[in-house]
Amino acid sequence: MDFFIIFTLLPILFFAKPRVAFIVQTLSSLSLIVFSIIHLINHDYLTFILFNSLINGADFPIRLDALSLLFVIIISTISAAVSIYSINYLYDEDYHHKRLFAFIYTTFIASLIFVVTSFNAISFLIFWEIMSVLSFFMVIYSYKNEENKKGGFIYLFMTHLGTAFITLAFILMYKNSGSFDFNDWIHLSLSNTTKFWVFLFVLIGFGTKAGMFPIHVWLPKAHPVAPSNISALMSGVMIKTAIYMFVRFYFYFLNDIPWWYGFIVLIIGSFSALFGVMYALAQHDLKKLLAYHSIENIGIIMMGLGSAMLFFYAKLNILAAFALLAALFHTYNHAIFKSLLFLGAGATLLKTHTKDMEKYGGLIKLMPFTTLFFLIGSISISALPPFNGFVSEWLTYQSLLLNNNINIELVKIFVPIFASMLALTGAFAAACFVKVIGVSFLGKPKSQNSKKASEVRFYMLFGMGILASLCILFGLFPNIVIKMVSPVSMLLLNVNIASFASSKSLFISTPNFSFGHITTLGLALSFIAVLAILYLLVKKFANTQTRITPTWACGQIKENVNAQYSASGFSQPVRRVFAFFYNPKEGVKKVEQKSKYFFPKKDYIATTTDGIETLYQLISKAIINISDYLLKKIENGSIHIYLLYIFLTSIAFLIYAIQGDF
Amino acid sequence: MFSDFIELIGAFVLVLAILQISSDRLFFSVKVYALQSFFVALSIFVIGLYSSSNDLYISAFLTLLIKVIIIPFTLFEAIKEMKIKREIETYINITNSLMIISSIIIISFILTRYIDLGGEIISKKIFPISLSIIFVGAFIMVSRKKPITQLIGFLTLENGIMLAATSVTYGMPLIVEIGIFFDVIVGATMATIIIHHINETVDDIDERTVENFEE
Repeated sequence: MDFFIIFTLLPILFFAKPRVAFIVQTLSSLSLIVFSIIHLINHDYLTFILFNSLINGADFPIRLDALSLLFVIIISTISAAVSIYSINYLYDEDYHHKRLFAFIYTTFIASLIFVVTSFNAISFLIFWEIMSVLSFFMVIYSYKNEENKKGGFIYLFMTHLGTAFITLAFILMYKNSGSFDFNDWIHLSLSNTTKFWVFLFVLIGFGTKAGMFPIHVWLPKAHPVAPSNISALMSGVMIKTAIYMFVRFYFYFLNDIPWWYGFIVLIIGSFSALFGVMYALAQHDLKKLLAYHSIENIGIIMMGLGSAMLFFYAKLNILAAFALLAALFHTYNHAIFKSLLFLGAGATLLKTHTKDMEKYGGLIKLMPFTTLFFLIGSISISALPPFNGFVSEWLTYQSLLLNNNINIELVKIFVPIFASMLALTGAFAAACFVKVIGVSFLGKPKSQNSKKASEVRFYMLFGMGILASLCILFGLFPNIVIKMVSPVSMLLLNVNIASFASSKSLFISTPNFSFGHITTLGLALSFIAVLAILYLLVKKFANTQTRITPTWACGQIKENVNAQYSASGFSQPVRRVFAFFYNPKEGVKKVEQKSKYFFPKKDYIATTTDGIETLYQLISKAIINISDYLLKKIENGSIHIYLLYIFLTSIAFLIYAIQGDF
Repeated sequence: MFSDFIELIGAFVLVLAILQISSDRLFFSVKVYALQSFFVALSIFVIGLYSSSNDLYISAFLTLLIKVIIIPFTLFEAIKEMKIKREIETYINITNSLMIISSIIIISFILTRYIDLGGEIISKKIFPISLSIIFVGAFIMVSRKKPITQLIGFLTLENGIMLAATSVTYGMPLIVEIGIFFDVIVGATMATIIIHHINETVDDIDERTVENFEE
């Protein structure tokens, strides 16, 4: 237990020397990974008290069970890579108050770890709030920008709204168990109504943090404006703490959940996935695009989670464990590739000083390694074999299709629809990253900034490289992660999923209802074999004489970089087809005109509006209008009216005071 | 016998408060106030006789001095100096005011039936009367436009409190009562001075003008 506390808190002590702090953070994260894996494999689950508080029943107990350890591994993996990246990033991007940055950064990671290990409602809420507030500080780190302030404010509001719902759920649990300790909440039997409220409050409260479909508005505003390494942590691991609590509540605390709980989670998940990816497609701000992809991936995780809940209801524990494996695997994968992508976006942002994809172009020649890592991340998020995203999405598909085994008509009807929504999501994601790679990394530089770009320094590349190699590693050998998740399924569902899903080494297979087996290593090898054969054939038979000429551009004589395919051009067909959904505004806007009649400089503007955001704006506007109206009516500046209020209030209180005696 | 007599005096005070509502002359209002204060002083004096407490004699004397002589005198001076052209202006006309106030009095009588006063009680019936007077004072403050009439409403309200305090129990400790007297006299003086100054600057003594300053 001492190891755990030391490794978690040690980096904070070094905040005065940011570089040292990042190095120590990396080392202690690695030690935490080793520590967790050892405990996970040995099924050695520690419980200890961090410190006793003065309030009875509100101590700070830590319990490292399988689920917690899995999330500690996820958090530590990402924080190790991101910390290495930060060694250069902090100085190259030149944020001021570097010590403050290092302090918030290290404390944020420690709070993340304590959130997933706390085993008491009060201490959980304390660490949860520390985590939220610190991430808010990082969102407004460049507080002089209007965008940061706005994003930060929305984030702060939404996260506290979420915490309010979480607190409500905790209070309900406390009222029914008489304790704040999570140990007393395990498989608590509640009345149906209470159970429903707990389910709903947990869904809304943690869903807000996760960026679930109708309450996601803060995510595309807050994540893009934070420093890129923090975006990576927020998108990669912070929103996963919500998934952690979903699993805790729905599989560990609640008992005998009805079927439609899982169905609701499934519906919300599929909507989040589709909605997130469609808006991502329309973005041309790189970090905003990635933030929308986070919504999509949370949706996919929730789809896995929802089908696991359905199986859990039907007492098909093996299948439930399989679906849970899909969800948790995707959680880990998304953490890896989303952090990788955000770090890549941070590198391009550092060198080009813009987030606008339309101003990139040709970065592959200037930043070859960054491009390579970004490409690996893109392939993973697009769920193409043999990378890790493919494995977890395949598992999610399978678990969705296996939902057919549940004897409820509604589920049987909707399962194919959900599966096809997931398929559509995958297609859109692939299209989206074709756009990102094609427009920003290929072609020719579209602005002065991207012309001057150069490769980032070693530690930044190293950080990204770790994550990229993890993408490949987990893609080729998914059994590693399955082995890690297996103790979780043992704990929650009493099923050793590793013995079903990876019974044959290097294969992953669906349990007993044999839908299929798959081996990503085999896929990769056959892919390489085909490539090799093709190469040999080309070498043997084709004309191998090469000539280097400029790309043929339809007979255009003068080269114009703006004639390249642009991001808004790429997504235009989708915008047109789904116009009802995007509510797009397109057109040419006059920017400046030097001479009176000729050659006005024009920009092509294409914007889309997030329908949900519009809804939020309508609601807030209505509230403000009503308040204004009431303010004018009630507080109208007349002393007589104020006196009347006092007068009426005193009469009302008199009546209230004696009403009991009537 | 004592309690009946005190009740009678209380009734006079209430009637004068109602008369205050129906008055449409400033001078008349001040005179009504002075008379009302006289009855309050009388009630304090009678209670003093009954309980043979020296404090209450002092209290009665101070009431007589301050509320019957000094404050009305100051108000008269203020009214003369301000040269008010129009007399009392109301938001609610006098007939409706009387209707409302009678219902308020009924309500206060109903309400106080259920209040357990406890302790040594000289006259239990005086409590609803004084509560009604407090409400009448508050009503005057709400419904009258001119600050000077609002001041009179406040003084009426204060009389009601005084009546309740002395007749339900044996009054408050002397030091508290002297404090209250001091507050009232300072309040009245301040109000007249401020009203006077507002009158000088804006030349129209009306709360509605003050409203414009607020924003």
